[in-house]
This record gives sequence, C-alpha cells and structure tokens, in this order.
Amino acid sequence: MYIIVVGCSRVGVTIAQSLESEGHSVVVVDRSRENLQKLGRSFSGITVVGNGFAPEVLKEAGIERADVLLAVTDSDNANIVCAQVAQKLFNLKRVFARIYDPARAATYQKMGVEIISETQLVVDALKEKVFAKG
Amino acid sequence: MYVIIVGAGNVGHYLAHRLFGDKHMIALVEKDRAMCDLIGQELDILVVNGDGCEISTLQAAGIERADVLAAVTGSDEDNLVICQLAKEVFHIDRTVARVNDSRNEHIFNELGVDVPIDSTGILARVIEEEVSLSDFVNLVTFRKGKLALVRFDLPADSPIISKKVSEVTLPVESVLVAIVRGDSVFIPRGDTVFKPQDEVVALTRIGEESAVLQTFLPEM
Repeated sequence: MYIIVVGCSRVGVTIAQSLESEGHSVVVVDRSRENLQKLGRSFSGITVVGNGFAPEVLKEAGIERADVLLAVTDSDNANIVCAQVAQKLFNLKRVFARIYDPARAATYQKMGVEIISETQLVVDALKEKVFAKG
Repeated sequence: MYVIIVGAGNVGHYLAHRLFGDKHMIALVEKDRAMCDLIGQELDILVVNGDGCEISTLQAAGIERADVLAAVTGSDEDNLVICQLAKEVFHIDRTVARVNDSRNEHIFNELGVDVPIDSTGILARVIEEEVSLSDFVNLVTFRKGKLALVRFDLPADSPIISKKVSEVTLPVESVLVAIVRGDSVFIPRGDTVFKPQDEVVALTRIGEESAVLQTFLPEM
C-alpha cells in the first residue's frame, strides 16, 4: 500500500519504520527537517518537509495516488485539519487522525473523521489491567 | 450582540477594545495568564484564561448564548478547529477566523468557516497598491472576495469629463457610489456632471474592475 504519514512524532517514526519494513511504500511529512532525521538511515521511504495540511505539500507527498493517510503529529488541531483536507479536498477515503483530547475526539468522530483517541485507548488499556482477573 | 473572541494577541486585544466601545457584550479567551490579567484591568469584560480549542473553555466563555465567535489566534489550525467546534457543537451561526498564512484561506472556506479573514493578504494588497503608484485602488473586498469597492482619480483627458452620470454606461455588474471633489463628497445622481480631478468611488463585482476603469480612461 501507498501510505502517507503526517508528523514525524514518536508515533509517526515508529509506524513509518514498521510499515516500511513490511514492504509498504511510505512517505513521511513533517514541518521540520530535523524531525525527519529521526527516521534513521535504514528508512528508505520518501520524506517531505512542509506543512502537513497544505494541499501543495500533500500533493508533493503523492496524496492523489495514496491509499491511506495517517495524521499523527503532536498537535490535535493540525491532525484534525490535515485529515479533513485529505478527505474533503482530495477525496481520500482512508484517513485516520490521532487526537489526545477526548472531547475533540468525540466531536470529530461524529463529524465523520476517523479518530484514534489516544487518551481513551490508554485509559481503556489501564482499566483492563486493573480489573483483569488473575 | 454577544461576541466571543479567542486569542488576545495584537488583533484580539484591539478587536476587544473596538467591540467594547460599540457596546457589544464580549468574552475574551486567552491562554496566557498575564495577558488575561492585563486585559481584565483595562476592560470590563469576561476574560477566560484557557485553551479556546477545548469545549469546556468555550463553555466557560458562555458560548451557549453567543451570537458570533471570532478566532484570531496566530495559529491557523487552532482558528479552524475553534470555529468548527463553535459551529458543530454549539451551533454558532457566524464564525469569523483570522487566516495567518494566505495559502490556507481556501481550506478555511472548504472546512466551513463563515468568514475567513486573510490579514496578511489584506495588508499585502494595501501595501502593494500604495507602492504601485497606481491611481486605481481597491479599497475593500467583501462577500468572500466577490465584491470590491474601488477608487480612482479621473484623468484630465477622460472622455467623460463634462458628461452627466446618466450619459455614462458602466459595466452591468457595477455601480457608482460617490464622487469626491476637493473636500466635498457627492452621491452621484443622473444629473451630476464629472469634472477633471474628480475622485470616483465605485462598487463592482471582482473581475470587472478593469472594465469599470476602461469606461473612465481616455481611449488608447
């Protein structure tokens, strides 16, 4: 698959490396060249420096032929805007945004943006540990 | 009207002063506590110290009874999300956002902000007009850039000098608004006569500006 990862955060680096090692075509977009260096020498995918919700940057990242976009910067709002630009301006169907704030996550889920609610995931995982039978 | 302003930088701060003077009810939301304290001392308005992107902060600012929300922070993604939350969660009819990077204006329109204001673009246009030494100035653009109010000096050799307004045919999508002559302003009527050195103000659909100007310029 052709996958665009917007945001070279910890999550961005980890998922980009992992997807690439599984044989997918991965493009990583970040505002900072320095952040992109965190991918390491072994990463052979493409990197694009720029604002991840700017249409011309997404075009440069090949959004018109992408299968999936993951918006995983450390900023909820940048992820929200990026996901909507990918959906509405480029008609990309499979778009996922990482959001920390559970309230915003719930709102945008209702508005049709596929959300990974990071806080909720951790809370659920913790509760499962706490109440695990054993 | 009850107006919520998010962001108390230069724009938000000044806007709060202006709207307060116009007797609107205002709530100001700002992340920086010191700035909140300063404005709280200057103006008798509700100042909320918090992140305007959080629903609970907007509620503290009384968004349930607000008529308008203006998001004027220095971050485009924040302004966009604040406006979307105001519309989707609180059904605010009119959201106004400052666009910091002109290239993002299109995104604001696409993502449902009612009135995106491209401050950099506006400033750049004004400066461009001032430095281009042109007699033709686009004073203001409104209705999302569909209409413009323009002004220009009537050249001494214009073919319409000494003609009446009723004798001049303007392009279909434009109207004459005012004629400035020295210190006097005339609202043009059919029998108003154009004189040399008149300053003409017209309202026109964007794209028709040059056609308007052609009417008044000498034939090449």
